[in-house]
Amino acid sequence: MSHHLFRDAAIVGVYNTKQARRLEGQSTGSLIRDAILGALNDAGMSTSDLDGILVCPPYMDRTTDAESRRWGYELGLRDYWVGSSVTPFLGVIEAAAAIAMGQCTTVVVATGQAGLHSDHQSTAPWTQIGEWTLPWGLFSVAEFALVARRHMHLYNTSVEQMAAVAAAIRSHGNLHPEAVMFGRGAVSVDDVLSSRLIAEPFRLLDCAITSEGGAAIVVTNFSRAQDCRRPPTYILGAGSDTRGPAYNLPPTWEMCGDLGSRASKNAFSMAGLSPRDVRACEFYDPFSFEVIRQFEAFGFCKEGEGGDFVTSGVIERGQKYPVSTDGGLLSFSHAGQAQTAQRIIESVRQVRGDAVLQIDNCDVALASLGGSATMFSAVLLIGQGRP
Amino acid sequence: MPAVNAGDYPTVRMTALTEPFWNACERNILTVQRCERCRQWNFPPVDSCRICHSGLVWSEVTGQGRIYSFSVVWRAPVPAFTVPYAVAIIEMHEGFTIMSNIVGSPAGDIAIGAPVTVTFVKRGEIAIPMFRLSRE
Repeated sequence: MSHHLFRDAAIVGVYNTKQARRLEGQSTGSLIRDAILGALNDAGMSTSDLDGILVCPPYMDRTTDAESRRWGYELGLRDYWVGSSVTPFLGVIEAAAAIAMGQCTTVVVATGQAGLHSDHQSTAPWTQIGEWTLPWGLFSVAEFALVARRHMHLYNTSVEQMAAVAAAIRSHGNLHPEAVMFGRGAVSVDDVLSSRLIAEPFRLLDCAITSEGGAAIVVTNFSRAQDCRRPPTYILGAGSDTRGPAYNLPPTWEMCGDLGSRASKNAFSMAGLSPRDVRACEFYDPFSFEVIRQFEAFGFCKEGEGGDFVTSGVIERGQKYPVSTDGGLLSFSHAGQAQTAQRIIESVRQVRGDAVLQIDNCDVALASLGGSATMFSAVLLIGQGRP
Repeated sequence: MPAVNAGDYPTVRMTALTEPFWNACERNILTVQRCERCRQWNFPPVDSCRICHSGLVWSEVTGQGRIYSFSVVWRAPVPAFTVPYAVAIIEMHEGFTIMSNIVGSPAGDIAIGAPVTVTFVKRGEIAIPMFRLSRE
Protein backbone atom coordinates (compact mmCIF):
# COMPACT_ATOMS: atom_id res chain seq x y z
CA MET A 1 0.00 0.00 0.00
CA SER A 2 1.26 3.41 -0.94
CA HIS A 3 1.94 6.14 1.60
CA HIS A 4 -1.29 7.87 2.66
CA LEU A 5 -1.09 11.65 2.30
CA PHE A 6 -2.68 12.30 5.70
CA ARG A 7 -0.88 9.55 7.61
CA ASP A 8 1.19 12.06 9.54
CA ALA A 9 -1.65 14.41 10.52
CA ALA A 10 -4.32 13.99 13.18
CA ILE A 11 -7.25 15.96 14.56
CA VAL A 12 -6.76 16.23 18.32
CA GLY A 13 -9.00 19.04 19.53
CA VAL A 14 -12.47 20.34 18.66
CA TYR A 15 -14.68 22.93 20.28
CA ASN A 16 -17.96 24.76 19.76
CA THR A 17 -18.66 27.91 21.72
CA LYS A 18 -22.21 28.41 22.86
CA GLN A 19 -24.47 28.69 19.81
CA ALA A 20 -27.64 30.79 19.85
CA ARG A 21 -29.89 32.90 17.66
CA ARG A 22 -28.26 35.90 19.37
CA LEU A 23 -25.28 35.90 21.70
CA GLU A 24 -25.62 39.13 23.61
CA GLY A 25 -22.30 40.66 24.62
CA GLN A 26 -20.30 38.50 22.21
CA SER A 27 -18.49 39.66 19.10
CA THR A 28 -17.04 37.75 16.18
CA GLY A 29 -13.61 38.28 17.75
CA SER A 30 -14.57 37.04 21.22
CA LEU A 31 -16.14 33.93 19.72
CA ILE A 32 -13.06 33.17 17.61
CA ARG A 33 -10.80 33.57 20.67
CA ASP A 34 -13.05 31.37 22.83
CA ALA A 35 -13.23 28.74 20.09
CA ILE A 36 -9.42 28.64 19.71
CA LEU A 37 -8.80 28.36 23.45
CA GLY A 38 -11.56 25.77 23.80
CA ALA A 39 -10.18 23.55 21.04
CA LEU A 40 -6.65 23.79 22.48
CA ASN A 41 -8.01 22.83 25.91
CA ASP A 42 -9.84 19.87 24.38
CA ALA A 43 -6.50 18.73 22.94
CA GLY A 44 -4.67 19.31 26.22
CA MET A 45 -2.61 22.01 24.53
CA SER A 46 -2.02 25.72 24.87
CA THR A 47 -1.18 28.55 22.48
CA SER A 48 2.54 27.80 23.00
CA ASP A 49 1.98 24.54 21.09
CA LEU A 50 0.76 26.39 18.01
CA ASP A 51 2.95 27.10 15.00
CA GLY A 52 0.17 27.39 12.48
CA ILE A 53 -3.17 29.17 12.31
CA LEU A 54 -6.06 29.44 9.90
CA VAL A 55 -8.90 31.78 10.85
CA CYS A 56 -11.79 32.20 8.44
CA PRO A 57 -13.54 35.57 8.74
CA PRO A 58 -17.30 35.65 8.20
CA TYR A 59 -17.04 38.85 6.20
CA MET A 60 -16.49 39.02 2.48
CA ASP A 61 -14.18 42.02 2.65
CA ARG A 62 -11.45 40.25 4.61
CA THR A 63 -9.33 37.27 3.67
CA THR A 64 -8.38 34.20 5.66
CA ASP A 65 -4.72 35.02 5.10
CA ALA A 66 -5.08 38.46 6.68
CA GLU A 67 -7.23 37.23 9.57
CA SER A 68 -4.83 34.37 10.26
CA ARG A 69 -1.84 36.70 10.35
CA ARG A 70 -3.68 38.99 12.75
CA TRP A 71 -4.78 36.18 15.04
CA GLY A 72 -1.35 34.57 15.16
CA TYR A 73 0.06 37.91 16.25
CA GLU A 74 -2.75 38.47 18.73
CA LEU A 75 -2.21 35.02 20.27
CA GLY A 76 1.49 35.75 20.73
CA LEU A 77 2.86 33.30 18.17
CA ARG A 78 6.24 34.04 16.65
CA ASP A 79 7.01 31.95 13.58
CA TYR A 80 3.79 30.54 12.27
CA TRP A 81 2.29 29.09 9.11
CA VAL A 82 -0.98 30.65 7.95
CA GLY A 83 -3.62 29.10 5.72
CA SER A 84 -5.82 30.73 3.13
CA SER A 85 -8.91 28.51 2.77
CA VAL A 86 -12.16 30.45 2.78
CA THR A 87 -13.94 27.84 4.89
CA PRO A 88 -12.67 26.01 7.99
CA PHE A 89 -13.87 22.78 6.38
CA LEU A 90 -11.31 23.11 3.59
CA GLY A 91 -8.98 24.72 6.12
CA VAL A 92 -8.68 21.42 7.99
CA ILE A 93 -7.55 19.72 4.77
CA GLU A 94 -5.11 22.55 4.06
CA ALA A 95 -3.73 22.40 7.61
CA ALA A 96 -3.32 18.62 7.48
CA ALA A 97 -1.49 18.94 4.16
CA ALA A 98 0.81 21.63 5.56
CA ILE A 99 1.62 19.41 8.54
CA ALA A 100 2.18 16.40 6.28
CA MET A 101 4.58 18.54 4.23
CA GLY A 102 6.49 19.48 7.36
CA GLN A 103 5.62 23.17 7.15
CA CYS A 104 4.41 23.25 10.73
CA THR A 105 3.46 20.96 13.62
CA THR A 106 0.22 22.16 15.16
CA VAL A 107 -2.47 24.30 13.51
CA VAL A 108 -5.70 25.68 14.90
CA VAL A 109 -8.49 26.23 12.37
CA ALA A 110 -11.14 28.60 13.70
CA THR A 111 -14.07 30.80 12.83
CA GLY A 112 -16.97 32.61 14.46
CA GLN A 113 -19.79 35.00 13.76
CA ALA A 114 -21.86 37.39 15.83
CA GLY A 115 -23.83 40.45 14.88
CA LEU A 116 -23.48 40.10 11.13
CA HIS A 117 -26.11 37.60 10.09
CA SER A 118 -28.52 37.69 12.91
CA ASP A 119 -32.05 36.70 13.58
CA HIS A 120 -34.69 36.69 10.93
CA GLN A 121 -32.66 37.63 7.88
CA SER A 122 -33.83 35.46 5.02
CA THR A 123 -30.35 34.82 3.70
CA ALA A 124 -26.75 35.48 4.64
CA PRO A 125 -25.30 38.74 3.29
CA TRP A 126 -22.37 36.91 1.67
CA THR A 127 -24.77 34.93 -0.51
CA GLN A 128 -26.29 38.11 -1.96
CA ILE A 129 -23.71 38.68 -4.64
CA GLY A 130 -25.19 37.77 -7.97
CA GLU A 131 -25.82 40.08 -10.89
CA TRP A 132 -27.91 37.26 -12.38
CA THR A 133 -29.97 36.51 -9.28
CA LEU A 134 -30.62 39.60 -7.13
CA PRO A 135 -32.76 41.65 -9.56
CA TRP A 136 -35.29 38.78 -9.75
CA GLY A 137 -35.62 38.25 -6.03
CA LEU A 138 -33.53 35.11 -6.26
CA PHE A 139 -31.65 34.18 -3.09
CA SER A 140 -30.14 31.06 -1.61
CA VAL A 141 -33.43 29.41 -0.58
CA ALA A 142 -35.08 30.02 -3.95
CA GLU A 143 -32.02 28.82 -5.87
CA PHE A 144 -31.84 25.56 -3.92
CA ALA A 145 -35.62 25.25 -4.31
CA LEU A 146 -35.19 25.30 -8.10
CA VAL A 147 -32.95 22.23 -7.83
CA ALA A 148 -35.36 20.41 -5.51
CA ARG A 149 -38.31 21.14 -7.82
CA ARG A 150 -36.47 19.72 -10.81
CA HIS A 151 -35.69 16.55 -8.86
CA MET A 152 -39.40 16.24 -7.99
CA HIS A 153 -40.21 16.57 -11.71
CA LEU A 154 -37.59 14.06 -12.84
CA TYR A 155 -37.95 11.44 -10.12
CA ASN A 156 -41.31 12.01 -8.39
CA THR A 157 -39.55 12.99 -5.19
CA SER A 158 -42.17 14.28 -2.75
CA VAL A 159 -42.37 17.07 -0.22
CA GLU A 160 -43.12 14.34 2.36
CA GLN A 161 -39.73 12.75 1.62
CA MET A 162 -37.97 16.09 2.07
CA ALA A 163 -39.95 16.72 5.25
CA ALA A 164 -38.80 13.33 6.58
CA VAL A 165 -35.20 14.56 6.34
CA ALA A 166 -35.98 17.82 8.12
CA ALA A 167 -37.95 16.01 10.83
CA ALA A 168 -35.15 13.51 11.49
CA ILE A 169 -32.41 16.13 11.70
CA ARG A 170 -34.45 18.59 13.74
CA SER A 171 -35.40 15.79 16.13
CA HIS A 172 -31.68 15.12 16.64
CA GLY A 173 -31.14 18.80 17.42
CA ASN A 174 -34.01 18.76 19.86
CA LEU A 175 -32.09 16.19 21.93
CA HIS A 176 -28.69 17.93 21.76
CA PRO A 177 -28.12 20.36 24.65
CA GLU A 178 -25.61 22.43 22.62
CA ALA A 179 -28.01 22.89 19.68
CA VAL A 180 -29.74 26.22 19.15
CA MET A 181 -33.05 24.36 18.82
CA PHE A 182 -32.45 22.09 21.82
CA GLY A 183 -35.57 21.24 23.77
CA ARG A 184 -37.93 22.70 21.20
CA GLY A 185 -39.71 19.36 20.84
CA ALA A 186 -39.43 16.44 18.43
CA VAL A 187 -40.36 17.46 14.89
CA SER A 188 -42.73 15.34 12.78
CA VAL A 189 -43.25 15.23 9.02
CA ASP A 190 -46.59 16.96 9.60
CA ASP A 191 -44.87 19.72 11.57
CA VAL A 192 -42.59 20.39 8.60
CA LEU A 193 -45.46 20.28 6.10
CA SER A 194 -47.56 22.67 8.17
CA SER A 195 -44.78 25.26 8.64
CA ARG A 196 -45.07 28.35 6.47
CA LEU A 197 -43.88 28.39 2.87
CA ILE A 198 -40.57 30.10 2.15
CA ALA A 199 -39.78 29.20 -1.47
CA GLU A 200 -41.77 26.26 -2.80
CA PRO A 201 -41.27 23.39 -2.28
CA PHE A 202 -39.39 24.50 0.85
CA ARG A 203 -41.17 25.43 4.03
CA LEU A 204 -39.63 27.08 7.05
CA LEU A 205 -38.58 23.81 8.69
CA ASP A 206 -36.89 22.58 5.47
CA CYS A 207 -34.43 25.48 5.77
CA ALA A 208 -31.34 26.11 7.89
CA ILE A 209 -31.69 28.35 10.90
CA THR A 210 -29.53 31.45 11.32
CA SER A 211 -27.49 31.82 14.45
CA GLU A 212 -24.29 33.02 16.10
CA GLY A 213 -21.38 31.05 17.46
CA GLY A 214 -17.77 30.00 17.05
CA ALA A 215 -15.97 26.74 16.32
CA ALA A 216 -12.37 25.54 16.16
CA ILE A 217 -10.37 22.42 15.32
CA VAL A 218 -6.76 21.55 16.23
CA VAL A 219 -4.69 19.51 13.79
CA THR A 220 -1.22 18.25 14.70
CA ASN A 221 1.34 15.71 13.54
CA PHE A 222 1.22 11.99 14.31
CA SER A 223 3.82 11.90 17.05
CA ARG A 224 2.50 14.96 18.90
CA ALA A 225 -1.02 13.50 18.64
CA GLN A 226 -0.06 10.51 20.76
CA ASP A 227 0.20 12.52 24.00
CA CYS A 228 -2.89 14.67 23.62
CA ARG A 229 -5.79 14.56 26.02
CA ARG A 230 -8.19 12.90 23.59
CA PRO A 231 -7.67 9.99 21.23
CA PRO A 232 -6.54 11.26 17.83
CA THR A 233 -8.79 10.96 14.79
CA TYR A 234 -7.55 10.85 11.25
CA ILE A 235 -8.43 12.11 7.80
CA LEU A 236 -8.98 8.88 5.90
CA GLY A 237 -9.98 10.59 2.68
CA ALA A 238 -10.78 13.98 1.24
CA GLY A 239 -12.21 15.46 -1.94
CA SER A 240 -13.31 18.88 -3.06
CA ASP A 241 -14.86 19.98 -6.33
CA THR A 242 -16.29 23.12 -7.88
CA ARG A 243 -18.29 23.64 -11.07
CA GLY A 244 -18.44 27.43 -11.20
CA PRO A 245 -19.08 30.58 -9.23
CA ALA A 246 -21.63 30.36 -6.42
CA TYR A 247 -25.05 32.02 -6.46
CA ASN A 248 -24.91 33.31 -10.00
CA LEU A 249 -25.47 30.42 -12.42
CA PRO A 250 -28.78 28.72 -13.25
CA PRO A 251 -28.62 25.60 -11.03
CA THR A 252 -29.88 23.07 -13.54
CA TRP A 253 -29.82 19.40 -12.62
CA GLU A 254 -27.35 18.79 -15.47
CA MET A 255 -25.05 21.45 -14.00
CA CYS A 256 -25.12 20.52 -10.33
CA GLY A 257 -27.33 17.50 -9.65
CA ASP A 258 -24.49 15.07 -9.05
CA LEU A 259 -22.06 17.64 -7.64
CA GLY A 260 -19.91 15.92 -5.05
CA SER A 261 -19.77 12.64 -6.95
CA ARG A 262 -16.11 13.02 -7.88
CA ALA A 263 -15.15 14.53 -4.52
CA SER A 264 -16.73 11.59 -2.68
CA LYS A 265 -15.14 9.06 -5.05
CA ASN A 266 -11.76 10.65 -4.41
CA ALA A 267 -12.34 10.54 -0.65
CA PHE A 268 -13.56 6.93 -0.62
CA SER A 269 -10.76 5.85 -2.92
CA MET A 270 -8.10 7.50 -0.73
CA ALA A 271 -9.63 5.81 2.31
CA GLY A 272 -10.14 2.42 0.66
CA LEU A 273 -13.74 2.59 1.84
CA SER A 274 -17.22 2.73 0.34
CA PRO A 275 -20.47 4.39 1.47
CA ARG A 276 -21.56 1.27 3.36
CA ASP A 277 -18.59 1.74 5.72
CA VAL A 278 -19.90 5.12 6.90
CA ARG A 279 -21.51 5.10 10.36
CA ALA A 280 -22.35 8.80 10.71
CA CYS A 281 -23.48 11.04 7.82
CA GLU A 282 -22.56 14.54 8.95
CA PHE A 283 -23.79 16.09 5.70
CA TYR A 284 -23.97 19.81 5.05
CA ASP A 285 -27.72 20.34 5.32
CA PRO A 286 -28.72 23.89 4.39
CA PHE A 287 -32.00 22.49 3.05
CA SER A 288 -33.74 19.15 3.51
CA PHE A 289 -33.47 18.25 -0.17
CA GLU A 290 -29.69 18.61 -0.19
CA VAL A 291 -29.45 15.53 2.04
CA ILE A 292 -31.42 13.51 -0.52
CA ARG A 293 -29.16 14.83 -3.27
CA GLN A 294 -25.97 14.03 -1.38
CA PHE A 295 -27.02 10.44 -0.65
CA GLU A 296 -27.28 10.07 -4.45
CA ALA A 297 -24.16 12.03 -5.38
CA PHE A 298 -21.99 10.28 -2.77
CA GLY A 299 -23.10 6.85 -3.97
CA PHE A 300 -25.24 5.69 -1.03
CA CYS A 301 -28.06 5.14 -3.54
CA LYS A 302 -28.61 5.70 -7.25
CA GLU A 303 -29.58 9.03 -8.79
CA GLY A 304 -33.33 9.48 -8.44
CA GLU A 305 -33.63 7.04 -5.55
CA GLY A 306 -32.73 9.51 -2.79
CA GLY A 307 -36.33 10.21 -1.81
CA ASP A 308 -37.08 6.53 -1.26
CA PHE A 309 -33.71 6.05 0.43
CA VAL A 310 -34.29 8.66 3.14
CA THR A 311 -37.72 7.22 3.93
CA SER A 312 -36.48 3.63 4.17
CA GLY A 313 -35.67 3.85 7.87
CA VAL A 314 -31.97 4.70 7.66
CA ILE A 315 -31.39 8.37 8.56
CA GLU A 316 -32.34 8.60 12.23
CA ARG A 317 -30.26 7.83 15.32
CA GLY A 318 -30.08 4.10 15.85
CA GLN A 319 -30.47 3.46 12.12
CA LYS A 320 -27.90 2.63 9.48
CA TYR A 321 -26.97 6.08 8.10
CA PRO A 322 -27.89 8.66 10.76
CA VAL A 323 -27.72 12.19 9.34
CA SER A 324 -26.56 15.33 11.16
CA THR A 325 -26.46 13.73 14.59
CA ASP A 326 -25.98 17.12 16.30
CA GLY A 327 -28.94 18.68 14.50
CA GLY A 328 -26.94 20.15 11.62
CA LEU A 329 -27.59 23.50 9.99
CA LEU A 330 -31.31 22.88 10.39
CA SER A 331 -31.21 23.02 14.18
CA PHE A 332 -27.69 22.86 15.71
CA SER A 333 -26.29 26.10 14.31
CA HIS A 334 -25.65 28.08 11.13
CA ALA A 335 -23.28 30.86 12.10
CA GLY A 336 -21.27 32.32 9.25
CA GLN A 337 -18.61 29.68 8.60
CA ALA A 338 -18.90 27.88 11.96
CA GLN A 339 -21.36 25.31 10.64
CA THR A 340 -18.79 24.10 8.10
CA ALA A 341 -16.36 23.34 10.95
CA GLN A 342 -19.20 21.79 12.93
CA ARG A 343 -19.77 19.04 10.37
CA ILE A 344 -16.16 17.99 11.05
CA ILE A 345 -16.42 18.56 14.81
CA GLU A 346 -19.45 16.28 15.11
CA SER A 347 -17.68 13.68 12.93
CA VAL A 348 -14.63 13.79 15.22
CA ARG A 349 -16.72 13.46 18.37
CA GLN A 350 -18.67 10.52 16.94
CA VAL A 351 -15.45 8.77 15.93
CA ARG A 352 -13.75 9.48 19.28
CA GLY A 353 -16.82 8.19 21.09
CA ASP A 354 -17.58 11.34 23.06
CA ALA A 355 -20.47 12.75 21.03
CA VAL A 356 -23.45 13.99 23.00
CA LEU A 357 -25.76 11.73 21.00
CA GLN A 358 -23.24 8.96 20.46
CA ILE A 359 -23.72 6.35 17.72
CA ASP A 360 -22.64 2.79 18.53
CA ASN A 361 -19.41 1.54 16.94
CA CYS A 362 -18.83 4.72 14.96
CA ASP A 363 -15.40 4.15 13.43
CA VAL A 364 -15.97 6.20 10.24
CA ALA A 365 -17.90 9.45 9.73
CA LEU A 366 -18.45 11.44 6.56
CA ALA A 367 -18.51 15.23 6.79
CA SER A 368 -19.52 17.29 3.79
CA LEU A 369 -19.73 20.89 2.71
CA GLY A 370 -21.41 22.84 -0.04
CA GLY A 371 -24.42 22.10 -2.16
CA SER A 372 -25.97 22.07 -5.60
CA ALA A 373 -26.79 25.76 -6.07
CA THR A 374 -23.47 26.89 -4.60
CA MET A 375 -21.67 24.88 -7.29
CA PHE A 376 -19.19 23.25 -4.95
CA SER A 377 -18.95 20.21 -2.73
CA ALA A 378 -16.33 18.82 -0.39
CA VAL A 379 -16.13 15.52 1.45
CA LEU A 380 -14.02 14.37 4.38
CA LEU A 381 -13.88 10.86 5.81
CA ILE A 382 -12.85 10.88 9.48
CA GLY A 383 -11.77 7.69 11.21
CA GLN A 384 -10.23 6.15 14.30
CA GLY A 385 -7.36 4.26 12.73
CA ARG A 386 -4.18 5.82 11.36
CA PRO A 387 -4.44 5.58 7.56
CA MET B 1 -18.81 50.46 -12.73
CA PRO B 2 -22.34 51.61 -13.54
CA ALA B 3 -24.76 50.66 -10.78
CA VAL B 4 -28.46 51.28 -11.01
CA ASN B 5 -30.63 51.05 -7.93
CA ALA B 6 -34.31 51.63 -8.47
CA GLY B 7 -36.34 52.09 -5.32
CA ASP B 8 -35.38 49.51 -2.78
CA TYR B 9 -34.76 46.77 -5.29
CA PRO B 10 -31.30 45.22 -5.26
CA THR B 11 -28.71 47.08 -7.25
CA VAL B 12 -27.95 45.67 -10.67
CA ARG B 13 -24.20 45.21 -10.46
CA MET B 14 -23.26 45.52 -14.10
CA THR B 15 -19.70 45.44 -15.31
CA ALA B 16 -18.03 46.38 -18.56
CA LEU B 17 -18.51 42.76 -19.59
CA THR B 18 -22.25 42.73 -18.89
CA GLU B 19 -23.24 46.27 -19.84
CA PRO B 20 -24.25 45.32 -23.42
CA PHE B 21 -26.84 42.91 -22.00
CA TRP B 22 -28.47 45.61 -19.88
CA ASN B 23 -28.24 48.25 -22.61
CA ALA B 24 -30.14 45.95 -24.99
CA CYS B 25 -32.75 45.27 -22.28
CA GLU B 26 -33.41 48.99 -22.15
CA ARG B 27 -34.41 48.73 -25.83
CA ASN B 28 -36.54 45.66 -24.97
CA ILE B 29 -34.18 43.32 -26.75
CA LEU B 30 -32.76 40.17 -25.20
CA THR B 31 -29.20 39.58 -26.32
CA VAL B 32 -26.67 37.04 -25.15
CA GLN B 33 -23.17 36.19 -26.23
CA ARG B 34 -22.51 33.85 -29.12
CA CYS B 35 -19.20 32.39 -30.21
CA GLU B 36 -18.04 33.86 -33.49
CA ARG B 37 -16.36 30.57 -34.39
CA CYS B 38 -18.34 27.60 -33.00
CA ARG B 39 -21.67 29.48 -32.76
CA GLN B 40 -22.26 28.28 -29.18
CA TRP B 41 -24.68 30.50 -27.20
CA ASN B 42 -23.50 31.62 -23.81
CA PHE B 43 -25.13 33.03 -20.69
CA PRO B 44 -24.22 34.45 -18.12
CA PRO B 45 -21.53 36.53 -19.84
CA VAL B 46 -17.89 35.40 -19.92
CA ASP B 47 -14.78 36.73 -21.63
CA SER B 48 -14.41 33.99 -24.23
CA CYS B 49 -16.24 30.92 -25.50
CA ARG B 50 -16.35 28.14 -22.89
CA ILE B 51 -16.15 25.52 -25.67
CA CYS B 52 -13.48 26.76 -28.10
CA HIS B 53 -12.13 29.86 -26.26
CA SER B 54 -12.73 32.12 -29.26
CA GLY B 55 -14.26 35.58 -29.13
CA LEU B 56 -17.93 36.21 -28.40
CA VAL B 57 -20.37 38.63 -29.98
CA TRP B 58 -23.67 39.87 -28.56
CA SER B 59 -26.58 38.48 -30.57
CA GLU B 60 -30.34 38.91 -30.30
CA VAL B 61 -32.26 35.79 -29.30
CA THR B 62 -35.88 34.75 -29.89
CA GLY B 63 -36.95 35.41 -26.32
CA GLN B 64 -38.82 32.10 -26.43
CA GLY B 65 -38.24 29.23 -24.06
CA ARG B 66 -39.77 26.73 -21.66
CA ILE B 67 -39.88 26.59 -17.90
CA TYR B 68 -37.17 24.18 -16.70
CA SER B 69 -37.88 24.62 -12.99
CA PHE B 70 -39.64 27.19 -10.84
CA SER B 71 -40.34 28.21 -7.27
CA VAL B 72 -43.07 30.38 -5.84
CA VAL B 73 -41.42 32.57 -3.23
CA TRP B 74 -43.32 33.54 -0.07
CA ARG B 75 -40.43 35.09 1.87
CA ALA B 76 -38.61 37.79 -0.07
CA PRO B 77 -34.92 38.59 0.51
CA VAL B 78 -35.76 42.32 0.62
CA PRO B 79 -39.14 44.01 1.19
CA ALA B 80 -39.24 45.53 -2.31
CA PHE B 81 -40.51 42.23 -3.70
CA THR B 82 -44.22 41.59 -3.16
CA VAL B 83 -44.94 37.97 -2.30
CA PRO B 84 -45.86 35.60 -3.69
CA TYR B 85 -43.74 35.86 -6.81
CA ALA B 86 -42.38 33.19 -9.09
CA VAL B 87 -38.73 32.57 -9.93
CA ALA B 88 -37.74 30.14 -12.63
CA ILE B 89 -34.99 28.66 -14.73
CA ILE B 90 -35.94 29.11 -18.39
CA GLU B 91 -34.48 26.81 -21.03
CA MET B 92 -34.30 29.10 -24.03
CA HIS B 93 -35.02 28.08 -27.61
CA GLU B 94 -31.32 28.59 -28.40
CA GLY B 95 -30.32 26.07 -25.71
CA PHE B 96 -28.92 28.22 -22.91
CA THR B 97 -30.62 28.69 -19.54
CA ILE B 98 -31.43 31.88 -17.65
CA MET B 99 -32.97 32.60 -14.25
CA SER B 100 -35.82 35.07 -14.14
CA ASN B 101 -39.38 35.72 -12.93
CA ILE B 102 -42.64 34.44 -14.39
CA VAL B 103 -45.08 37.36 -14.38
CA GLY B 104 -48.69 37.94 -15.41
CA SER B 105 -50.13 34.57 -14.39
CA PRO B 106 -51.47 33.06 -11.20
CA ALA B 107 -48.93 30.77 -9.53
CA GLY B 108 -51.18 27.78 -10.15
CA ASP B 109 -50.74 28.11 -13.93
CA ILE B 110 -46.96 27.84 -13.78
CA ALA B 111 -45.60 24.42 -14.70
CA ILE B 112 -42.38 22.82 -15.82
CA GLY B 113 -42.39 22.61 -19.62
CA ALA B 114 -44.74 25.56 -20.12
CA PRO B 115 -43.71 27.83 -23.02
CA VAL B 116 -42.75 31.39 -22.09
CA THR B 117 -41.86 34.63 -23.85
CA VAL B 118 -39.59 37.40 -22.65
CA THR B 119 -41.06 40.68 -21.46
CA PHE B 120 -39.29 43.70 -20.01
CA VAL B 121 -40.25 45.31 -16.73
CA LYS B 122 -39.04 48.85 -16.14
CA ARG B 123 -37.47 49.45 -12.76
CA GLY B 124 -36.28 53.03 -12.63
CA GLU B 125 -33.72 53.49 -15.39
CA ILE B 126 -33.22 49.84 -15.99
CA ALA B 127 -35.34 47.20 -17.71
CA ILE B 128 -35.34 43.71 -16.24
CA PRO B 129 -36.05 40.78 -18.55
CA MET B 130 -38.86 38.60 -17.21
CA PHE B 131 -41.11 35.98 -18.80
CA ARG B 132 -44.83 35.50 -19.46
CA LEU B 133 -46.58 32.24 -20.19
CA SER B 134 -47.13 32.13 -23.97
CA ARG B 135 -49.96 30.49 -25.86
CA GLU B 136 -48.71 27.40 -27.71
